[in-house]
Amino acid sequence: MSNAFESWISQNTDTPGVLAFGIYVQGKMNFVQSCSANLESQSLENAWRCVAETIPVLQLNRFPTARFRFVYGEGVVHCERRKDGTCLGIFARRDEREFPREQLDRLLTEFHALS
Amino acid sequence: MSDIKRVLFVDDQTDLLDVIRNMMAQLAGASWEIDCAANAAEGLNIIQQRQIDLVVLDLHMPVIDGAQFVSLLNRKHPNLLKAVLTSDASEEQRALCLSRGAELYLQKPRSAEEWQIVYKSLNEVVRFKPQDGFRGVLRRVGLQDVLQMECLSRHSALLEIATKELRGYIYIREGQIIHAEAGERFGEDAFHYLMRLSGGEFAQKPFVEPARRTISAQWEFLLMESARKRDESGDHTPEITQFATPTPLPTLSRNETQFLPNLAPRPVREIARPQIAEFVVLSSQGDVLYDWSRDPRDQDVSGRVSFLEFVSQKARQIASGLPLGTFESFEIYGSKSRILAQLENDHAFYVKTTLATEQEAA
Repeated sequence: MSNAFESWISQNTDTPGVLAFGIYVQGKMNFVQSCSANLESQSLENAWRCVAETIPVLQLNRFPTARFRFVYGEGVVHCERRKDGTCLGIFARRDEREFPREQLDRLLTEFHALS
Repeated sequence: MSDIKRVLFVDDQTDLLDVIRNMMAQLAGASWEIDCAANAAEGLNIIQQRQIDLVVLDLHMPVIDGAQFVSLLNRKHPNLLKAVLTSDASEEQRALCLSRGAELYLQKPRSAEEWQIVYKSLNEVVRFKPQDGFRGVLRRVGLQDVLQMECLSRHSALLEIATKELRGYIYIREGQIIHAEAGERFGEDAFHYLMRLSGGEFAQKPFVEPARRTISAQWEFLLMESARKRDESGDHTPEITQFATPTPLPTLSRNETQFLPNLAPRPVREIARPQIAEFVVLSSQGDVLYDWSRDPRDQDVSGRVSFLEFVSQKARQIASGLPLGTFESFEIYGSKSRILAQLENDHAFYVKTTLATEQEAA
């Protein structure tokens, strides 16, 4: 299963507008993959850890955890959580011309279909 | 600039503290300077005397537990990194500590390998301290917080509390509240009166001996009693806050709203329209300016304040070192609800909308 996620991510690292991917399975796996040479790996790992830590806090507040995102002026961190608890993070450009909505649709659909 | 990091461990098990000190010194070499404290009071004293980069706390300690201590430190020292090292594996405690400002929630190690993992995790956090000067932490330092800090640290101080109508004083000598006065009130009566005041400010001043001592009760009892009286009176007006220059939140540009794609089947949404279910507005200091809830049973203002503080902190940490730009909002999409948390220059707000069908909305 872990390999399936990693392999899927490696197939999508050249998706236009995507800066990085992260996968988190509670207590089992925490994986982050940069898609840009300009990203410092430590910054990315730190960011992904912070995103993953958001999930238990949302649960504590009884908020939904299936889909949430951090929106910044230049980028967005899209988070999608499957029913089995696996969480995908997509660090992407905010501008739709750089990261079209159809690409996000496609990535999320494929993520849900991975087995 | 020195690259040596100062790490403070707080744990009431002193034998374990020795083990921690030895293990961490071995793993970190000269890159860490390690301090240890056997309780929160000792820890606070060290934090106030030295420049500490990271505090690592045990969860279950007497007087004040780790989660409370994290919360207290987060308000008083928002830029101090905090981690919890505990044997308590409960998800609830983990979520609670993270929501109150802990960067990490780690299990106490039982093998050499686990010690290495703990060290590596802590080292990553402490090496990755966000740049100084970054602003965006929603601060909320209240009179109760400061009193608790001063008493725990066994400090001596004079707190001057001022509202439009009145000026009052609380005297703390070596961590004990010894006297309070507010107009014609003295002693515990004055203390509880001052703690119930709203809409004012307070300032910490050097301690001077009061003309007489009017309070002998323990500070923990006084604070609990004051909280009880406040609850009983049903008064939920903003707590008095420390007089300070407000910390501005990140500037936001109002860009066009983006929406996530709808992947799920949407028969309900097609006949539904959103209704506001909950709305909370805070000042940049964390005071509640306005709150409203369609269903009062769902009202949890202090929970929303903590959540906005958490979002503020995490959003800042996520963006550190990445080309994401200024934080604008945090959005949650549920099947029947949406939640938006937004931080502005001088206020923050939380809004929850739910989808009501045409029939329900009518």
